[in-house]
Formats: sequence, C-alpha cells, structure tokens
Amino acid sequence: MCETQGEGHQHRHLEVHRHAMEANDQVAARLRRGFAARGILVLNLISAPGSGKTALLERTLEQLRPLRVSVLVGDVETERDAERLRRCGVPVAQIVTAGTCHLEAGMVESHLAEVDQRELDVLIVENVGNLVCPSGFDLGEDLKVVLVSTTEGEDKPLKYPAIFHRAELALLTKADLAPHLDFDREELLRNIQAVHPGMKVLEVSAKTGLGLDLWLDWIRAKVGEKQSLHV
Amino acid sequence: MHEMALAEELLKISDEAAASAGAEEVLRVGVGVGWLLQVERQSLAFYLEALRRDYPRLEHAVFELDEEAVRVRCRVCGEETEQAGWGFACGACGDRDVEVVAGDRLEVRDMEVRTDDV
Repeated sequence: MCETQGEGHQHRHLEVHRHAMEANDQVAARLRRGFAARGILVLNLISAPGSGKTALLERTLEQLRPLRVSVLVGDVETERDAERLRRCGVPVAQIVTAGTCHLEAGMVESHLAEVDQRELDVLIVENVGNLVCPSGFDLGEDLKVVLVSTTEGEDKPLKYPAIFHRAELALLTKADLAPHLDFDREELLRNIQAVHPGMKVLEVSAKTGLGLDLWLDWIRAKVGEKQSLHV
Repeated sequence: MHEMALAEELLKISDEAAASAGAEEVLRVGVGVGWLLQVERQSLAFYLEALRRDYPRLEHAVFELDEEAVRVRCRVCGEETEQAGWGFACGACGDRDVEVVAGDRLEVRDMEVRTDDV
C-alpha cells in the first residue's frame, strides 16, 4: 500500500482483488454442502424463454417416480409455471424475481423451506428463461443443463456460448417438430461441439415422448452417483 | 441485464474496501472483466454510473473496466495458454483437457483513494 503526500490529505493505492460474485458464491457453497449432506442431486435448467422447459418437466416429473423430486421454478412474474408443475403431484416452489433476469443463490436459499429436503432425491431448479444472465450465477447445483429447441435456430450455441460451455448436458427439445422446419440438426450439433467439445446432447420431445427415456436414465444415473458419494 | 446485479456488487465491494482503509473518497477503481462472463462493458458502466449515488465515497470515482482474456492450464502437458475463442484447447499440445485459470472473474483489482490527514 503506497502512500503519497497531498495538501492536507493522502492518496493511497489499495490492492483489493475481490470477485463480484463472492457474496453469491458463499451462499452457493453453503447450499452445496447442505445438498451433499442429504445426498440430493441438484440440476439447474437454463434456456431461452419458450424452449419448453416446463413442458419437459411435466413429463419428467410424471415418469421419474419412485424418485422423490421437487422443483424450484423461477419466473420474472406469475405463479403459472408452478401451478402447472404442482398438477404432477410433486412439491413446487415458485420464485418470482420481480424483474431480475436470473436466479441467485440467495433466492434459492430463501425458498428451500417450501420443499421438504428430508424427503428428496432430486431438486430441479428451473431458471428464469434467459440464456445469458443465469449462466454465471452458481446456485449450489451439481450440474447445469441447457435446453435449446429445434425452432430456435442452429446458431444459438455460437451466440450464447457461455452457457453451452458451462452446462454438462444439452437437451435438444421439440425434436418432433424438426421434419416440419428448415432445421439443420448437423449444424446445431457442430456448433455445440465448437463451443464445448465432447458435450453430451440428448434429443427429446415432451409432446411425443421421443428420447425421454435417455433423459430419465441420465438423471437416474446422476442420482446414483450422488447417493453413492453420500453413503 | 445481469450487469445491474454485478454493478451493485462492484460498488459494494469498492465502498467496503475504501471504508476499511479509512478513505474519504475513491478516485479510481480498477476492474478486471473476465471474457468468459460475457459482461457487456457499456451496460456495466451505465449501471455503475446510475447506482453509485447510494455510495457518497464513490461519487467521483473513475471505473476502469479492463477486459481479461481467458487462460487455461492443460491437465496433460501443464502449459498455461491464452485462448482466443470458445472450444478451449491447450495452445501448446492441443489437448482439450484444460481448466480455466483466468478470465472467468469480474473483480475489483485495485483502487486509488484519498484519506484526510488527521
């Protein structure tokens, strides 16, 4: 810390080196320890608005039984998604961010009391529909999953690379629509691999059920890994 | 849009650091903007300007936003290399088994502050 003399005051140089995400990351680390202690697998689902997160979750929740699943769903406004998902018979908490474009770890922590963690194998966090802002906010999850639908265009991974880089799995949703669109599947897959070499991609349709088995098996395998660490 | 949340954190950290050093006024804040975070610098500057009225010590501070490139360390050959785009790979041996060691943070690096003589 060097100091220079001025008139009646001093100028000082301060080395700070503090990260803007540090407050969020502290809460996320606390959440992660709590989930690990209970052996709960936590998935953070991120996509653009309208890519079919909620529709896919409706099918997923119905078919994951006997695994015990809960959902925290983030939206800028309304409880509509939570109401849809509650019809699947699982505990759902809605996080209304009132303008904020992403979920933060503190929002997850303050809504956790609404789901009973003692009776849980999987917690799915459905983030606010947005491909940019949520990607940098750690929520204490094990894995991020990015969804991109066939109607969105093949260049999504190139335009929004950070989330494709950070996510473990990409779900190509609305796969049933592909034959009706000018959709170049190979190009989308190439673009995903350009951003995240070796990224796992599953093609699914919530409407026809196409590919759902592979997605459900992927979740079950991750639950098994998490619980084997827990024991 | 997440620039607003990030600007708020940068202001909080700068103000705390100034307060704990007993500073009256902050003259300059050096901020490292990691490329990997996809932060829009113009938007970040806008929010820093708009939100700093809540922090009297920061009223006249100049925020220098300096982009930081991504660097990765190769888990195979151990070399550290700078990355020019996505799809990270070791610049020395080409292996894709790399970990990011720089360019993934938005941080307050250093500050110039003014303290009044006692």
